[in-house]
Amino acid sequence: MKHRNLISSLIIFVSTLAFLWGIPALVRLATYSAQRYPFAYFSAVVKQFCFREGSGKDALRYDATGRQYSESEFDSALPMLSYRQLSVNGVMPDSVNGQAVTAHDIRRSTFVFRYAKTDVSAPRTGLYVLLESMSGRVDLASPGDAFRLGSAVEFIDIASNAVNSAKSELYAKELGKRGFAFPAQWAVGDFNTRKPYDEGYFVLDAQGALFHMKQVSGKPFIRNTGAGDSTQISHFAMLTVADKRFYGFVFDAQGYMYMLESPSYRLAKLDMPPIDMQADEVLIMANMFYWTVTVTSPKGKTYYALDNESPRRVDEYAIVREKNLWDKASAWIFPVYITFSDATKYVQPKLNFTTSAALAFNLLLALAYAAAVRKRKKPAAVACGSIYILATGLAGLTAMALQNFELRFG
Amino acid sequence: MYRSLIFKEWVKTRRFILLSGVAFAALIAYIFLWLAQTIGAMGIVGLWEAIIGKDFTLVAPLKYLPLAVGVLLAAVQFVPEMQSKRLKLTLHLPLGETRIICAMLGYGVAALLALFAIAALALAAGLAVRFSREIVLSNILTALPWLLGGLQAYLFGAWICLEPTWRRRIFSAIPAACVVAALYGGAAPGAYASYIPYALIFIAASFFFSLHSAARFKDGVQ
Repeated sequence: MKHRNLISSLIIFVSTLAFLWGIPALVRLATYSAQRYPFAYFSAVVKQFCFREGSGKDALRYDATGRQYSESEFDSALPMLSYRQLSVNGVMPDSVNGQAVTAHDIRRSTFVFRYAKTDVSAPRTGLYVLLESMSGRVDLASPGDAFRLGSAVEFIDIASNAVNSAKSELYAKELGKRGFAFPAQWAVGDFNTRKPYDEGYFVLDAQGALFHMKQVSGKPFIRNTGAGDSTQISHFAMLTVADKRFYGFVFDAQGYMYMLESPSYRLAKLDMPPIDMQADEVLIMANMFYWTVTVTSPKGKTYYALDNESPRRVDEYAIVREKNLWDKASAWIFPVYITFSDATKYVQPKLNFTTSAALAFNLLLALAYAAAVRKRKKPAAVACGSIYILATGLAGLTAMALQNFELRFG
Repeated sequence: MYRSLIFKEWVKTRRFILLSGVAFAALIAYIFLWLAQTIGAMGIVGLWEAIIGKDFTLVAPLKYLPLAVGVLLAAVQFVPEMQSKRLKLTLHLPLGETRIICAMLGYGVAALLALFAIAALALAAGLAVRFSREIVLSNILTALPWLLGGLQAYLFGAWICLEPTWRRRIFSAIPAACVVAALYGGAAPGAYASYIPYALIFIAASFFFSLHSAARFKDGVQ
């Protein structure tokens, strides 16, 4: 058979690629343990981060100075978090931080926001649903149509699966009048009807301008927010907050976060370092005094306390991630391995490089291989096999061992 | 000679291909009936919104059928060749072993491609009645890695069936399982779009693996 050696090499190569993913995936499954970080919340009473490790009676509660709290003391230190428990116990203070507070005030100003690295890069259908934001009814209602927004805007009547030309033209005309440049890069909105109000979509046009698009009393409402004039916008995350203070969070190309204020469209920069949008995750727990911002990165967790008004940084606290068994093992065994990317919702193979120390392990494997086969193989075959194992390590050795033949070229 | 060879393959596999066609037709009919019931329960608007907002997939029941068809076609086509060493007779045809194996594999790949293409077109045509082109495309893209998984499983199945020793069959099945498993990860609709070129490269490479098994068989490896 012609090209037999070439096909043998191809089998080993494909097997090696499979093992560069399969073997590390199995080892990771056996050795990886996620680090447990404490729950943290910035106290408006003691003006520092308070932490809780574990849950129930056995939970450890302490603040950034190391002072430990009982469960009831912890509730009292965090009235913005524990107001329901404090109210039930009849010990809810009338004022916090020199300001009168009620449960209603707290509920109205509290919000939780999450950003996950998979929010940025995920497959989309390219279809959106635009709710009527001022229907005159208490509840939001589904409109019965959807729109596509690419090189043009087209509304599709869902029942007939046909384009609604009249509505499409109405929106196309209004977008054109407001200076929208097609094609749209992306649109972000939330068409969940179980919320108090709807702000439609925020759309990034072809020139990087951020437009606000919603439907008001059956008519298009299109505005250039101007946010794209001063900032290179990369991502927008919409958030419905009870006090309608802002529309959501803008992320710029460097990873800085901004609050897009309502109704002025003013960008208020969060006083914290940029995040790595491909690797980090963000959790914001906000109350009427402070925001507790938790940034989880591969290196650890950093907590920022931001002032609710400005949002200026008032405190920060970092916990460095400890290396687990997988980190230590992969650093020595796998100088390179393949994963299917977890930074996006797309399935893509990704080459990961660990440390050069792992090359020593590959060298050891290559030497062991050469010693084992040197009497049975020609020197050229031993050299080829050893070089291949040096480059591919355990995966290459496994592929060669399973196929039980050597790399032979020519 | 090629016509005779293809006819031989057709005789071996026609019942299975017919059965596979019936299985695909039944599954697609099931998907449409299930869709009709879902539309009845939640309304067409609710279903569109679930697709747009919650990554609802319409073709999920199809997931493992192409894989099963691929593996079984390889078994139906090549296990009889290995019984009583009938492959030895086939390889003695005046064509050369490479051409013979490539023709046999080409037949199998063409049969699967035809089956999968008809199934995908029938699905797309049916979905296009009630859903926009974006939703149809998203669902076809969701099913595409599963269909490629069927092709990949067929080629690996042929490689393993033609291999003369059990030890090597088991060892070959390990990397084959890794490559096929990569196409079946739980993911959002259309998530595999950027992996398709890699999958096609693996399929193209593995087409030639069976030649190695056939050469070992011809060498008389036991």
